[in-house]
Amino acid sequence: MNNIVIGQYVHGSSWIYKLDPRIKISALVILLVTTFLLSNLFLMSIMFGLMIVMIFSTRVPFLKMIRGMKPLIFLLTFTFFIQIFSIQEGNVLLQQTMYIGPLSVLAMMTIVIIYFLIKRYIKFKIILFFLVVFLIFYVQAILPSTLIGLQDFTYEFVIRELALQYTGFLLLRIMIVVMLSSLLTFTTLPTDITNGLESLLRPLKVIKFPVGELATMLSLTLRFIPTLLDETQKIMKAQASRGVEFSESKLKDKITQIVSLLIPIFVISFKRAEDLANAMEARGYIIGGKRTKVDMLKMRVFDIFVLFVCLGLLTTSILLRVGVIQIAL
Amino acid sequence: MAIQFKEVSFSYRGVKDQQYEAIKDINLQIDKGEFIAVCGQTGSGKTTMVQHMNALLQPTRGNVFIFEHTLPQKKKQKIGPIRKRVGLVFQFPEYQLFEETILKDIMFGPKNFGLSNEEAKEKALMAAKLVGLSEDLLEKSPFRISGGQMRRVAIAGILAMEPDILVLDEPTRGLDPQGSKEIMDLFYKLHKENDKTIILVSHDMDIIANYASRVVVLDEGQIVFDGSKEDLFSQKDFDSFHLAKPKTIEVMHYLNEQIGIPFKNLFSFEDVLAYLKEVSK
Repeated sequence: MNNIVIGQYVHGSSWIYKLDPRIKISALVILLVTTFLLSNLFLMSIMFGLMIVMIFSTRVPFLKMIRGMKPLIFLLTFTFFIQIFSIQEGNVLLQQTMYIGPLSVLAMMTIVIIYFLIKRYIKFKIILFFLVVFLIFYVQAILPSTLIGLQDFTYEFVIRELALQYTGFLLLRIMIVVMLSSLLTFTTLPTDITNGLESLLRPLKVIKFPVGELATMLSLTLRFIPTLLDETQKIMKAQASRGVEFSESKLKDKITQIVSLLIPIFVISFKRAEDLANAMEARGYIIGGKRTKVDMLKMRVFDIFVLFVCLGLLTTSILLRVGVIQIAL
Repeated sequence: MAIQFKEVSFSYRGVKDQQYEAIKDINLQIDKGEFIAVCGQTGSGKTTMVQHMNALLQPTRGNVFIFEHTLPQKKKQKIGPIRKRVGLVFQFPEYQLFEETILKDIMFGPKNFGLSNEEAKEKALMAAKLVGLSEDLLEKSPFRISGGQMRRVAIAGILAMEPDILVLDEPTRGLDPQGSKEIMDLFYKLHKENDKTIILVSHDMDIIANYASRVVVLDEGQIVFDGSKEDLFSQKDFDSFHLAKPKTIEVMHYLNEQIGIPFKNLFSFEDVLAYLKEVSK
């Protein structure tokens, strides 16, 4: 537990690592706005393609980024079905009468139960998940309860071209947002992000917003996460020697266990906070005082260039949106 | 035989899945009723080794035998029985306190091992007495007493589980000399009177010389010395262990060099005094 890396920073040395964090943060915001201004699948695909090219040029491990999308799969599947059922226009691609009755419900339940039973032994969970979703609909199509002489509730399952298009559009948009954001956290150290944010938020000082303090707080928090995790490990071990088994127990015991962990951690955090405050004061830290930095952020020509490329994309998307430029589809 | 290590290695996983071996091929046998000290430089693997004795860590290679149990365990096996027999007192154990009252905190361990409230209370009162906590303290909050007393409470919490083996990871760290002596005398008494096996991890050579009978020295994850303390301090390559010598031995060396009193391995100042009286006759 000694080498916890906070955030998802992946060490590397491509061009994106050399960018000024302020530029990276602004570029992210600009690109996100651009993405949300795009209005059809074609433009979104272009944007997606551009992003993929960019990701490859930064030599960030692509697989790791894809793995970060895992939690989204459920959401994306859900969106897909919402779109299919809600959009009722356009060419029909597939039409099928579905039966919901005792037989198919039973089959669906069996599939779900089997899924949860074999889930932990299977390596390709995502493929399994899609398979299960497909099967659930498939049994509705092939198992009318009239087979066993019972009545069914039937509905029409229709996949329309427009629905597919719109789902694809949403899917790409979500993927762009997630991947761009993770590109920032993958290639920027948390301290650099805080520094960048502090610098970007500086104008807010005019309205007496405590930017410097906020940045100090942020970086201190980040700094103490590994320390606290370390302490948590120690306390967990200490309580484990006193007979606490954190993994295997009933809910009632779990509560005592969590308390036996939380209270020591609180005590330690307060103690650390006090020590830290004393140490900072002893070295002359004054809240709101003028401070200098060890790492000065400096903009270079390349940074400006990147910023202009992003602004260019933004302008294009605005022009497309308001209809100044038109593309033939 | 209480604990046996058989070619035990343990590696931590670092960043990017590199393996970092904390201990390598440890062979060690600890019998019932021994008082063993484990010493070595910081980062030599003392704590890692000691955590195996309590099944907090499972060896990545080799086997550890603790009474009738064997590590690494199979998935379904319970760890509880091992932890009940081997009590581990951590560095700065006062941080593990959390209950509202001292008594409740001492009762926490026994209750986890399935004792009823009354039984646990009985054990707790006994343990509190052993470590010298007065009864009127027991209903107080463990956060409103001094650091030294907190440590006693934490130790009582382990003793209340009535382990056969006590593993102590630097129990005197951060205590003043008086407090250290009291705590160590307590462990020594437990060792002598209650016949507990004690495994003591310490940097303090004076404490080791005073209390332990056998010393194990670790260096870079390997055992470089295992034998009696007399042998250790008369080892020729003692300097290569990066350890200090206890004060009594330094005094004896000094007296030998300065006024030619024959050198003898002595580990307490009482013995030194007795020896000097004898010599001067």
